[in-house]
This record gives sequence, structure tokens and C-alpha cells, in this order.
Amino acid sequence: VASILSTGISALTAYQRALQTVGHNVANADTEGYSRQVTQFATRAPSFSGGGWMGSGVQVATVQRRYDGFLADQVRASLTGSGEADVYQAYASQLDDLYADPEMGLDPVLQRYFDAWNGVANDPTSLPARQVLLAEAEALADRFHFLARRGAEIAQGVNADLEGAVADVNTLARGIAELNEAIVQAGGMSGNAPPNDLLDQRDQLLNQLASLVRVTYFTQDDGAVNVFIGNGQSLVVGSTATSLSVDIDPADATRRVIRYGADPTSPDISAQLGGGALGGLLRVRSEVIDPSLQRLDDLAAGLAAAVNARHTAGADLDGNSGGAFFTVSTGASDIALAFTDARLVAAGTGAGASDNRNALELAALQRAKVMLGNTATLQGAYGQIVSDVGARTRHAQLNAQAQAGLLRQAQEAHSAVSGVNLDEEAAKLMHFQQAYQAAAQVIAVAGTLFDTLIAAVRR
Amino acid sequence: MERISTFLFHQRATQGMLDNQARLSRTQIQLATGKKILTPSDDPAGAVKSLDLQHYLASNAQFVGNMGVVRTRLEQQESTLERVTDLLQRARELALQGNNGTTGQVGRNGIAEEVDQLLEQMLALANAQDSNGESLFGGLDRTRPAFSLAGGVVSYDGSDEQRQLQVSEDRRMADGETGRAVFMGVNGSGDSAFAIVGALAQGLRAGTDLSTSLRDLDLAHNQVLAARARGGARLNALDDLANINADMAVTLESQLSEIQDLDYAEAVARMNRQLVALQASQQSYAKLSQLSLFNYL
Repeated sequence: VASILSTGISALTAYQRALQTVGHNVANADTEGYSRQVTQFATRAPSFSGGGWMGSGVQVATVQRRYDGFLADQVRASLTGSGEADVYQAYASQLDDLYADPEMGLDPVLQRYFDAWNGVANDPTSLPARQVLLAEAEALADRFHFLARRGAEIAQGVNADLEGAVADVNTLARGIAELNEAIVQAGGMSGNAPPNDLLDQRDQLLNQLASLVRVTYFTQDDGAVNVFIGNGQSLVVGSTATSLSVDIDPADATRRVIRYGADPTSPDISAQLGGGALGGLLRVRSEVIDPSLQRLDDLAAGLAAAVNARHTAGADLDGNSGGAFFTVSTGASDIALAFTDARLVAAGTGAGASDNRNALELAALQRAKVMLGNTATLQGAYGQIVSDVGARTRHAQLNAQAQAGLLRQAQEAHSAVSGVNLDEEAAKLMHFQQAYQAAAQVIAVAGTLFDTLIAAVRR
Repeated sequence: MERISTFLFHQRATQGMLDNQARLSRTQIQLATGKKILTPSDDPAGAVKSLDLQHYLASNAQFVGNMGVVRTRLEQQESTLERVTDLLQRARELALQGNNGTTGQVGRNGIAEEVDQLLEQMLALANAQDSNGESLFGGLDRTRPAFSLAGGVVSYDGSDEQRQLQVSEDRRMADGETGRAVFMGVNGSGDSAFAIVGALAQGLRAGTDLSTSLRDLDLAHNQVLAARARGGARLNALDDLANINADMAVTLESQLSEIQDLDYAEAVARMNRQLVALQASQQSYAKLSQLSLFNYL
């Protein structure tokens, strides 16, 4: 009778645990990174009595999370890919919008500038026509400044995001190191029973880290995971994490480098980092932002050079030979009108005040191939910037979509194994509840047997 | 066996609705702007092509404006030179009248007076100004009168080069004749039209034979007619160019429209499809999310 009771109680306890696990699953159905847990039962050690080995009930062997390391690795790889593609796409789109907007782009003001030269050619002695030209030239210079400033702001946005991302990497690395320590301790305490929730938390931090930068990692025998970045620099080893830092690029103060270590003498590993938001930021800067700003500078310098060469060859309203029309030193950010007196516009060639031949040539610069090694007009060169940024943005958008698709697939595959399904848990709840009731019934029967025995003895 | 986590089920359904909304919003913006290409990345090649076409159209519009300027000036030149032609014709009539033996010296003196008037009028016409106050016949130098009178001699002070304006991508056109081409170097000895008319007045007063004057007046008349013919030819060429330009603009506009403008019928049909899809995803989600085994516990 005693063994029946004990068997019943073992079942009662085991199903209580199982119900507890179901409750835990239901509670965490929406917890990101949570893997559903399953209570695994095992028979208790049987005892030999007379006729054979008598079973003695059930025990909880372990509570395990449903987890597939291979699928988790795939999710992480996809996070690295989509993290990079998303950031790249977001920044490329900003430039794309900037250059395309008819209100903000260079194209309309460039057109009006050349129209104004035509106006001067039509009426070379008209001061109003010359004033219009100067106003349009100034508007053109302002537009260059605006585009350069917006470009610089976008580049600063990249810098700020780099700092934010590196700070996040450091926080995550410390978190992983701390969880490593906790996991190793928990394993030691429980004779290597898996500390499921801690493992989930660490996997979640690894996921977040992977979306920031490409990492490699492996798990040690004691359960700690070691994480490496770049060319194999260790980010987390056991319970210690190494910090990264962001520093001003010694070669270009507008750029940032990432150092392996907290102090400014630490090695620069920017070139070795790839993937994730960090990789996306570094790549969009060097592939889209910097080249387009450089080409904008080239365009401003090319415009100034072509216009000045022609303008200095002409003569102004008073017959004096023309000076520079634009001044420029670095490019789009500082191109400016060289004078403000409309009489100084060198519309002629010295044949008389009504001479418009130089103005005709300056208006015809619109169609002259003076850019990109004399293969493109000024507007053509600007069109190439627009189309290049557009094409890269389009590519980035497609890539981001593809990466998002891959990530979704990986997450679905992972979640098919690890995710909680509430209907399934409801079914288990009913199932374990019934089993619990059955075990209670066993105890009740044991009680009845005992009562029967007592009553028989008393008689 | 495929199992799906409840979390993912909700996430997928929400994502599906968000995607549908994003597509719908994009179509809505397209309908609101009437543009197919919202940013260059939608169609990089098309975006650049449309930039190019816009350049052509803007340049075309500029050339149309330039042509208008040339046309105005050529028309003003024509009306001025028409009056010069009339003056020369009148001078010829007067010369014939003076050459007639029946006209006595008193009559010839009276005729000479009228010829003096003609000369004055012709000088005024030769110094005519356009609406900007520039001399019409000054060539590249129009800020002062094209002709000046000193010691009874009219000399040309303008430039010998015509001023040209850009009227098409590859064509520049003179906006007028130089004074020299119209009025100077008329006969073999290089006399100007003014000198010829002046000589007529002198001849009338001196009572000499006027046959040389008559011949020279014909030459002057012909020279002015030739200048008018050149102006007329330019005006004709402008008409041709304007037609070509207009045809070109229509072609370019339609190309541009094809690249950047929205096909409304297609977009509206697409929007309806997307609306149905969004509604379907919302309704199916609302229904499916009510189903749970827990409802039966």
C-alpha cells in the first residue's frame, strides 16, 4: 500500500511540474527569444520484490528547451545580413530622395542659370538681364552649399549611428560575458541541467549582437560561449568582454574609425568589420555617401573652371577684360560668385557694348562636354550622380527585401522548433490536468485500500 | 510536421497587413502626384532619361524665347527698312521729276528741299532704336547712334559684325543687319546711300544731269531690298525652326510622359486590388485570432 501511495505521489509531483512548465510556456508565449520548454519524464528506479521488478512511479528527468543550434545560427547569419542591408538602404534612400527632389536637386537651378546666360546674350547691355544672371548664379551656388551641407549631415548621421552601434556592441558583449558566468555557475550547481532561460537570454543577446556586426562564436565545454569579431579578435572570452571604441579618423576628421580596445592607441579594425548595422554604416559611407559628395565637389569645381576660363576670355560692359566668375576652393561647400557688380559680367569680346559673343559661349556651356574627362555635360554629370545613387539605392532596397525574406524564413524555421503554440499548450494543459487527476485517483485508491485493511484488522 | 508558434502567427499576420498598407500608400502617393517614378531608385535608368528629356524641353523653351527676341528685332528692322525703301523710291521719283526739262531751276530748288527732308528722315531711320534703346543697325556696338553726321558727311560708327543669338541647339542667327551692309558702299566709288541722296540734292540745285544719281539711287534701293530679303529669309527660317521645335517638344513631352507619368487606369485598378487584399488580411486575422483552444477550457 505504501508503494502505491508513493507511486501516486511521484506522479502527482511530476505532473505538477509539467503543468508548471506549460504555465511557463504560456506566460512566455510573446517573449522574444524564448524557447518553449518540455518536461521530460523518466521512470523511477524499480525495486525487486518476489515475482519481479516492480515499478515505483515517475520522476522529472529534466526540463529541456526545444532548440536547434543550426537553425539558430541561420537566424543569426540572416540578422547580420539584414542588419547591414537595412542600414545601407536607409542611408542610400536619404541621398536618393535628396538628389531627386525637384525642389532640392541641382538640376532646376542649373537650368535657370543657363537660361539667364541666354537672357544676357539676348540683351547684353541690359542691366536687369545681368542682375538676373547674378541672382541665378548665386542661387546655383546656394544649391551646391545646401547639397553639400545635407550630405555632410547625412555623413554625421552615420558617425552618430556608428557610436550608438559600438556602444550597443559593448553593452551586449558585457551582457554575454555576465550570462556566461551565470550559466557556468548554474550548470555546476545542478549537475549540468540546462539553465534554459539563461541560455535563451544569451542567445537573444547574441542575436542582437549579430544584427550589429558579423561575429563568430563557439561554445566551451563548461557552457560559456566565446565571441569573436573582425579577423578573429575576441570580443567575449568566458566572463570577460573587450570594449570597442569609436575615434576620429586621423586621416579625415569627418570620418570615424573603430578601435579594438577603449583607448586611442588601440588598433583600428574598421576595415576588418563587416555585416550588421556597423558593416552597413561603414559600407554605405564609402560606397554611396563619400563618392556622391566627391562627385558633387568635382561638379562644382568643374563648373567654376569651365565658366571662369570662358569668362576671363571675355570683356565686360565697359570693355575691360573679364575676371573669374565663380570662386571655389574645396568644391560644393564653398563655390561662390566672384563679384556682385552686374557691369562686370563679361558678355562680350571687346567688339562693343552690345557684343554678346562671350555670353553666347557661356550659355552654350550647357551643351559642352566639360565633365568626366570631357565625356559629359554639367547636367549630364549631375544626372550620373543621381542615377548612380538611384541604382545603388535600388540595389540596396532589393537586397534589403531579399535579406528580410531570408531572415523571415530562418525565423520561421527556428520558431517552428522553438516557438510556443498556445493551442498546443492548451492541449498539454488538459492532458496533464487529466493525468494529475488520475494520479490523485491512485492516491485515493491507496487510501481506500488502507482503510479496508484497517477495518479488517479492527474486527 | 509543420508547427507554427502563436507569436509568429500574430507577427506574420501583422506584417502582412503592414505590407499591404505600405503598398497601398505607395499607390496612393502615385495617384496623388500622377507620377510613376517617386524617387530615382524606383527606376534609375528612367529617372536619368527623364532628367535628360527635361533638359531638352527646358532648352527648347529657352530657344523659343530667343527666337521671339530675334523675330521682334527682325520685324522691327523690316518695318524700318520698308520705310527706307519708300524714301528711296520717293527720291527716285523726285530725281526723275527734276531731270525733266520742263521743271525749271525754281522747281528743282523746291524739289531739292524735299530731298533734304528725305535725307534727314533716312538718317533718323538708320539710327532707329529698339525697345531697349539700342541702335538697330549698330551690329555689336549699339549703345550709341549707328550713324553720325559731321561736315555734311554721314559716317557709320557701329560694328561691322552682326550680333547673333542662339535659336536652336546648333544654330545661331543674326538679329539684324549692320548699318554698313544696308547703307554704306553702295556704288563703285563706295558712296553711302546718304551721300547719294545728298548728291541728288546738290545736283538738283546745280542743275546738272541727274542720270548718275538715278543709277546710284537704284543701286541703293537694291542694296536695301537685299538686306530686307535676308531679313525675310531669316524670318522664314525662324518659322521653320519654330515648327520643328514645336514638333520636337510634342515628341519629347510624350516620351517624358511615358517614362514618368502614371497610368491612372492601371493605378486605380491596382489600388482596388490592394484594398481588397488589405481588407481580406484584416478580416481573416480578426477571425483567426479568435480561435483558441483555451476558449473551450
